[in-house]
Amino acid sequence: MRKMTDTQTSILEGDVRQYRYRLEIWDVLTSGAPTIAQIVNGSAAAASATFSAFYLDATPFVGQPLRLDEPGDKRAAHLTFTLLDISGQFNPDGGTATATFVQNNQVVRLVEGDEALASASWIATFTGHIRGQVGFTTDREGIRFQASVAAYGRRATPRYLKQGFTSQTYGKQVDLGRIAIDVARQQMGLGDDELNRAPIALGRGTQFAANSIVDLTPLEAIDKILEVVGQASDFDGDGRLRYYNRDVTRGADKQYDTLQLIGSVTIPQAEIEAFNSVKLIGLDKQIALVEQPEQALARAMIPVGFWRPTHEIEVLWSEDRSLRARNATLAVLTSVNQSLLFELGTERFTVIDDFSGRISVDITSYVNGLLTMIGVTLAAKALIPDVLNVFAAITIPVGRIIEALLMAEIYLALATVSSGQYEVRGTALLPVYQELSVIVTADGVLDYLLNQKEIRNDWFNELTEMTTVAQLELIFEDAQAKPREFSVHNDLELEIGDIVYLPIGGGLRIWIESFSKEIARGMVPMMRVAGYKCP
Amino acid sequence: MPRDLLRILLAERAQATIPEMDGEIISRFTLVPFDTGGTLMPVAEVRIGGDIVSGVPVAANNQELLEAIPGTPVRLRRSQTGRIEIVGLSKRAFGNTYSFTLVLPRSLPTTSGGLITTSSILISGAVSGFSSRTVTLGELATVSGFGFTPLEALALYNQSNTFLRLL
Repeated sequence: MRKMTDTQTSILEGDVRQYRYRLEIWDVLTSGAPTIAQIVNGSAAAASATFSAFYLDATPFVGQPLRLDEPGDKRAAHLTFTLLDISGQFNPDGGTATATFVQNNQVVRLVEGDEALASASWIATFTGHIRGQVGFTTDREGIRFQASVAAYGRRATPRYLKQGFTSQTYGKQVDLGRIAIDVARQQMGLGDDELNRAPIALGRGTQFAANSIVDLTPLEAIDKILEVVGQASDFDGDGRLRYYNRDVTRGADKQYDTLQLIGSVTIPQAEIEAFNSVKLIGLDKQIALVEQPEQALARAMIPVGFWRPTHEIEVLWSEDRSLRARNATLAVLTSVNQSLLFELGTERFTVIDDFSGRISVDITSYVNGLLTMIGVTLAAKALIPDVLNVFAAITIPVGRIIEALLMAEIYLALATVSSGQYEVRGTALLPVYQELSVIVTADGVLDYLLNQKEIRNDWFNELTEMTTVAQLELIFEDAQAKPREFSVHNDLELEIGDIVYLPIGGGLRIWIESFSKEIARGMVPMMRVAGYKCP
Repeated sequence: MPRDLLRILLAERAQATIPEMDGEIISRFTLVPFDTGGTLMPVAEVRIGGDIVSGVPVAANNQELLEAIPGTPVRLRRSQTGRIEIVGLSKRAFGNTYSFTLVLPRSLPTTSGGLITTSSILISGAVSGFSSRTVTLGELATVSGFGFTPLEALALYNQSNTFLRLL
């Protein structure tokens, strides 16, 4: 719904109207010209002295009729008109200064209002660019010069529609609305004033640690984001980006209490293959872990000996702790017990977490005891005296004999060294995205009449939100099978995506998909509005 | 409306030209005599969405793929006539599919004038999904009688881990 002031509403929707319009053409290509952002936000107003040279009020030249089509369904608005004048100043080959205004890509605005309303309060209903070459006819018999011009709304801007881009990377819990606004700012070059109808927050955050958009066009990217909350993007008459709601079950945005302004209501014959089932495919916010074949995760060599009671070594499955594995087991390639003399210890393996483990070798208490004994006996041997044999007149070196025995102990202790070689084997786990699908089918659909619409969107990450959107989409698709049309005396409040209520047959709510009007001088145009009957 | 028809045709056209899709290997690779000459080719069973396709070959001798174990997500390429081959590993695995039935909202005129509006009712239906793993020792005895199923045999299970069939 376009917002209007009370004054605007009372005059523009009244019974007595003096309809007027203004066709503005802006030169945006010559140096020093205003930008489209300045035209949209009004800083390059028609009265502005700075930009007066770049402004042409083409209203006096407009030949009848001037036609405005807003086809909806994510397509650009389309304005066609002819310019008539006696001097041929719009001739593209004529070399006049005025001809620059009808060059490709110049900006055209249609501003509608009323004689009784100050022209500053008139409402812009179309902002777009001239597309292609202006047609020009010099008719000698009719003695007239006629230029035909076609302009398309901002949605048709090639960069918005066709140029793929790569976005920056967003982290976790970034509001999707912020990403959409960033795309509009960075890729479409829209400024604050062109974005003040686009909500900054959609109340829905990103779920993964890294989120980026690669090789989508800006409008595709924005619409994919908006799909998550059941919305779609559009440009309004002022040339500002706006969103509209695809929920057809919501209340009416505008209610006509009488049929005074309504011309006709039509139920058209229509060949429509309506979808009766909607399948949404998103990515589960939980990353799935897929098992890989068993592999060697780590190898380690541990030298052991008398010098430490427990030998420990921590092993990682990958140097950067990125590899995750389960069922990790220790394989002993060479045991510490395959040593020369004794069994040296027990080998243990503990899994620390999914990324690492610990290999330990506990030295047997015998080795510890041996070490203590060495200490004690070395101290004791010094105290043992030699014995004198008086009969043989010799001195028996008891101390030395005992010392030799003790040296054998030291020799044993030094021999108590070994090394073990180990390998940790396990099942590596590969993290992968897991697709989540939701199918909502209309009740009572026969198998062979199933017509399913598939929507793939990686921004969907939760079952509940997917169910809600799939339900909303199915009701929308079901409504598409029931097109309705009506004509209304130029109602400038209406925009695509609005729901209007008509007091017909107990009440009829119509979701507006498109409209068109032909504007001629001196009469209030009839708007032909097409849409779908809301349930 | 020709416009709607055009949209549907375009959507179908887009669907028809998608040459690649994601799948999931659910069996081990086995060598089978693939042509009349008996050329041996490694093939596996692959799950695509809710469907299972048998005898899917690997695009080239990709060792990493041949060693892939059941449950590994793979990238598949489809020919114009619908034949598929495994071309690589994928980052997307299948999850479950949740199906619902929706009683659509309706506005129905009443005999006394005015409308009666029904609201939409969402009826939750089935959850479907597949996984494959080696049968447990207990299942070895129950699936086909003790002694018939070899140790480490693979089987297909549904989303609630109920045995479906041996692979």
